[in-house]
Amino acid sequence: MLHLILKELFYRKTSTLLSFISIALAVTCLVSALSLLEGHKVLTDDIFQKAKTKQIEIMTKAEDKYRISTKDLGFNVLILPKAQNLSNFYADDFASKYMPEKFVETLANNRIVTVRHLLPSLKQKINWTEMKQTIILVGTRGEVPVIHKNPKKPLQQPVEDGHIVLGFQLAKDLNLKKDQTVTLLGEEFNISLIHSPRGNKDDITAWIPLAASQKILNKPKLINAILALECKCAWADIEKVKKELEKILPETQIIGMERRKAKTRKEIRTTAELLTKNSIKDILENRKNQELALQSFANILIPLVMLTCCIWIGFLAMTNVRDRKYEIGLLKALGLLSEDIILLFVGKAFLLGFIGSVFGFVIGAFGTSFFGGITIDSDINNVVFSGKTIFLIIFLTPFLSILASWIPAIYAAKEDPAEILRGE
Amino acid sequence: MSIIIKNLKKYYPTKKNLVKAVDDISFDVKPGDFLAIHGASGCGKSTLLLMLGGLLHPTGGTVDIKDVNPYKLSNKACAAFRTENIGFVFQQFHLIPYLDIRDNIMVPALASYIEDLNMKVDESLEKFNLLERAHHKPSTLSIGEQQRVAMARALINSPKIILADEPTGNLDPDNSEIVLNTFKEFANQGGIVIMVTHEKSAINAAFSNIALDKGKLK
Ligand SMILES: Nc1ncnc2c1ncn2[C@@H]1O[C@H](COP(=O)(O)OP(=O)(O)OP(=O)(O)O)[C@@H](O)[C@H]1O
Ligand SMILES: [Mg+2]
Repeated sequence: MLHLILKELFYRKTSTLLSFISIALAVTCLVSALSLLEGHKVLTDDIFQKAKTKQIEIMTKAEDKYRISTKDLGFNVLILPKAQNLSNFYADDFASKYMPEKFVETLANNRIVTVRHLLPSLKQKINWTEMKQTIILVGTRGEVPVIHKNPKKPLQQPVEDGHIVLGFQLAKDLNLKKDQTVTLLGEEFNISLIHSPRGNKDDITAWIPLAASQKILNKPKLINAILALECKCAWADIEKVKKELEKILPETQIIGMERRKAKTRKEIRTTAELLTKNSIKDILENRKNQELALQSFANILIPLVMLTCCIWIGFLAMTNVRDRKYEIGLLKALGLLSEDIILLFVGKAFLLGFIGSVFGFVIGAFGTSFFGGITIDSDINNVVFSGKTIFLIIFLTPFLSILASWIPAIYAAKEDPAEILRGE
Repeated sequence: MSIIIKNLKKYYPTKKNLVKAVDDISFDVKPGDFLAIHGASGCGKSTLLLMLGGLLHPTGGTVDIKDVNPYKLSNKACAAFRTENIGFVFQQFHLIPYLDIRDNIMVPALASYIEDLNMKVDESLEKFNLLERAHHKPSTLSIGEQQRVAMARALINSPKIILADEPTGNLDPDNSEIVLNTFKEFANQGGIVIMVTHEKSAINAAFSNIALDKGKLK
């Protein structure tokens, strides 16, 4: 029987080839669609992994940058007279001991510790006798030019000579307005600015030029604090900076201050994570959409190709049955049963389906890898070449082929040998 | 072991009328007989032969071959009965085009087991002078050679009966003689040959003959 099927297959080469090609083509189509889809998924995973690595890289870099920038920021310190009792300083918020104003120049001129901004001040709680009000008076001077550095814009606006700047609450309580002239302990000042509320002692503080304050408070050429901002030296360690400063100004004591606010490491991390996460999300979403588009395309294409192929196979089988009318009649006359005739056609359909699917599979799988830019790596192998897929394709295709040839086979089995052999 | 037919009828209903292809025929054929059936074209010769061969259900009457009515058997049993007992030869030889001569002769073996098949095939190839053509395709053979292949195929399962429809219709006298001689030999060995023909020489070669006219015995 197999002999008969094989001989017939080789005899009717055109019909066989047509059937074979259409089956192989359908399977190629199916396998390609599957591999492309799988490949797409695998690539998406790959892209995701790469993006993840990139994210970690970016985060690490951001952290490094943060470390460098905090080092760049240097330290902020407050320089107080050596004799100052720190407990009292913390309680009052200003020093009761004094030091020469020239310390500022000494500090500015040294080369070991560089200070970006130097703000000498004379600060004291006084009774504004004219107004019958206790206030904090601060005498300030603008930035002392740092010799080996271009003076930067002062951090704090110095108060111009003959002017006074008032805290919000102070001005409100005393009912003072901008540009008004006030007398403070015998000296006349013009109110150049009233700060907006700050919610701290600044609100009851009055700022005047350093020289004026020295005169009013009778502390000629004296100050009680220097705010040194962004102190830097070879060591990124505040204790070393402090020690070095105390060496330069032996008559002082230094306390560390809060750093200028820098983004915390955690903040940077979260920002970077968020940014990269979003971009990964975008990529994944994009690819997911592509995948869905591919999928829906395949959902239409695959059944369509399969159906077309089935109809075509059925048509070819029908033609084959007609061609073999006499042969069928003869075989039946010689004693073959209808079942045998069905087996003959079904066996042929199975063989065609099997060989066609194997070919189609190989062409599809390797074709997509060569032309589709998808390498058959282990991941795709796992999916496309999994036992399940191979089973489905290699064994379902012959089944479909049999299904398509079923009606022609039944038709063949029904042929009446008498009708055929009567002659004419 | 003879063939006995009684009141055999085959009517074909058509749109216009009822075609009585075979109309109430009865006769016996004994073993060793070589019977020729002749008559005008369309008188029902082929129809009768097919009914004798178990291939066409009669409208009425009975066919008994070796005391078996093949039409009372199941499809499967009937097919087996045919394979075992009957060899067919047709005017169109109905060789399978994609099989070589040797395979064509072996085709009946698809339906039933044949003892010493290869040996028998070799013998018949020699007998019908086809040894050199054993591996050729039917289309490369002459008409006479093709009919000899059909003869070899009909005899390969050692049937008791040979049914032949115009076996010499397409043949030249030499090849006709080979066929007729084979039939004579077969009948002489105790077989039954029933041959439809309209050729004088074939009728003369047969041991007995009957004539049909419009479905009835003349
Ligand atoms: N299936 C059928 N339906 C209708 N009429 C049929 C059918 N088969 C045969 N006939 C008719 O039955 C008659 C006998 O046909 P049959 O083939 O037996 O004749 P025949 O004697 O073999 O003729 P020939 O010598 O030409 O071969 C014919 O008139 C034919 O037309
Ligand atoms: Mg006829």
